[in-house]
Amino acid sequence: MNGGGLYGDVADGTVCPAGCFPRGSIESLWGPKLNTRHDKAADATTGPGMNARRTTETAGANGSNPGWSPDERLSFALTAGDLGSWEVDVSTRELLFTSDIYKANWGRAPDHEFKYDTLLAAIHPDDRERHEKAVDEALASRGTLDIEYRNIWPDGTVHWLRVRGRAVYDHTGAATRMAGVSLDITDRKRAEESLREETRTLEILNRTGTMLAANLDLERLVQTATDAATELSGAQFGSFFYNVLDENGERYTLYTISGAPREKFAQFPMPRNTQLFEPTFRGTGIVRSDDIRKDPRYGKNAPHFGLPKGHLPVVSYLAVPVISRSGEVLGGLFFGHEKARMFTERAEHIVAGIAAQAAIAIDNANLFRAAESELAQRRRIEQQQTLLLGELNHRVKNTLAIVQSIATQTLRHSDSAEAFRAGFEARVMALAEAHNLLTESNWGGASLKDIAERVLTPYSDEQNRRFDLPGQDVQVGPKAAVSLVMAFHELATNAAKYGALARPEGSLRVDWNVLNDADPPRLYIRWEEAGGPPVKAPARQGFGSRLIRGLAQESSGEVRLDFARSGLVCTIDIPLYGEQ
Amino acid sequence: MSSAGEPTSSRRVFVVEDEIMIRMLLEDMLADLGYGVAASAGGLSEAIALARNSDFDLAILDVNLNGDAVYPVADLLMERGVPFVFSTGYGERGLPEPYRDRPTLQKPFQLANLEHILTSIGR
Repeated sequence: MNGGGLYGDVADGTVCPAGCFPRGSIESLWGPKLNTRHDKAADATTGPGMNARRTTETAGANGSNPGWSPDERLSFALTAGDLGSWEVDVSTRELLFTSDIYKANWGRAPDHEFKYDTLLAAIHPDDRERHEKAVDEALASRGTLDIEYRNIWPDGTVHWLRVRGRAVYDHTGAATRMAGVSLDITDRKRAEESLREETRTLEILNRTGTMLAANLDLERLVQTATDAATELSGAQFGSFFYNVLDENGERYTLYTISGAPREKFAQFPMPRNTQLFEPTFRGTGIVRSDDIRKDPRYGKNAPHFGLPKGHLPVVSYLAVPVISRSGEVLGGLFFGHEKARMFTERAEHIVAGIAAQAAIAIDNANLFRAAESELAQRRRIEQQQTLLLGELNHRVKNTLAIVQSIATQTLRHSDSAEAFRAGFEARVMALAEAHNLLTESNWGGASLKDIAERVLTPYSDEQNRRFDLPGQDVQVGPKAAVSLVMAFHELATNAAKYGALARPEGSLRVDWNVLNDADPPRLYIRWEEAGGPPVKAPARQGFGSRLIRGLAQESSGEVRLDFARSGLVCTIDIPLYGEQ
Repeated sequence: MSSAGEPTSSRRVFVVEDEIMIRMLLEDMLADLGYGVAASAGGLSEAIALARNSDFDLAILDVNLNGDAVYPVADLLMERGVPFVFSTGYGERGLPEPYRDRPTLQKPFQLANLEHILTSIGR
């Protein structure tokens, strides 16, 4: 086993003159221990020759140590370095020597007969090819073998080894043996791995935080939060159910999906406030379960009693509420995995952090949206006000022009200032009455019955209602309403002076009907007086008759004033415009 | 159609105004100024028909006819080369670009102003 030790001077590859692997001394150092993780300092102090060590260092000027053989020194150094040592026959691939530490590196006891085949089988399958290649290259280049690979211990655990070695060559230049050391680097690898993981986590968190802070688009915000939280929690899929308000202030739930196509969820109803979801939707706490099927809150509710049929399998479950600064629950982040025990406490903390960031971002987006809609509404109101003021101005100016018209014409037909005053006042009052009627309907129009009632009521009293309105009520537009109030006023004034209303026994009847067959429909009105003094046609056309005839002016309207002796009959046939 | 019964030798005006009493006022004022009323209309379709077919020298167009803008009538008159003036209660700012430079009669009307505008466009 110790044949021609080659560790005498590894650095230049020359052959060690003496045996290089002093097995006995290693055992005395390590005893039956297998574990590679031990207190090296403690071991070192218990090792032989410790007392002599100081002597070595002080007497080291000439390089000799009277208390230690070279084997002892090497063995001690290897042990102190926790280095396993090995030697292999290059041609037969037979292990010529393996130290106890070396065997321990492979999870084997000191008495285990470690074979090269055992070694090959124990190397992690993914690392075998790399190992073979590294050995071949070292031999071919006469260089140093330096490789890190994983090996699998008999108990199934995976460990990392760093192995260094060199070969010796015969006079033909062929490699004969190779020897070297091994070091268990599992801890370092784990540290590296967790550092990488930590770095990746920080990068994602940083990216997510930046994105959340910079974005005001709700849809993108929640998708970003869902994606990041799904990735960092190690979930197979994650979702974010969030509550939003529509334009009418109605609350509804939207969701984003990460790690699975949206169609996978499309056919399922929104999660409800069941026992399981309640802590999330009420914001009382995080739910993290290694196996949600074993949770007492799971599967209690109709109609599904657990997951709806066809739902992606969920065993590991994590749900984190997303809560606004105001305390309002904005929604919840939900994660699933088909395997048990997938969500660690660390994952829970990370997701809780993302949920907090998402809450702030959603608050900001909502505030921004609210401010936007507030501004838009103000602009709308301002526009409406401007429009309203313009419309008001228009209406006032029109009304002034109407009053101007009434004044001009009343003046034209008045014989005295007194007659003008009375006529003008009555007409302005009639106009005001028309405006009252229209104001009641928000200027939308008026009912014909109301128009006639308003004009005629002053001419009758409780004992003697002097008019009859048998027609079925009909709505007329605002412009027609004003004209009809004025026209009825003129007719009634005339009747009070010269017609049916001039005598107590006189009466009048105003009837109407609508011809719906016509396009546009036509309104046919008949004003008929009876019981008044004998009628004479007036010598000239006054304001009233001009106004009434003017009604006919629109689209072939027709007005007839029949001054029959028995009483005036006025027929008005006009188009019934809804808008007029 | 209404007629103020003016002599045919006077300049004849086409009046478009949807408010009967304002139409009556304009007809009277025009008569006082020695103009005849060739035709008058209160609705857009009627106004368009009359703008195409009747004979007149000037036109007064109320901008808003029961909610319809009178501009199609204005366009017809521009095509025919007939001078016209808008009448409005909205103020001058209410007119869209192609008509902004047109003279405008503000309601209520001033006889002297009406005379001035009609004289200036009728030249």
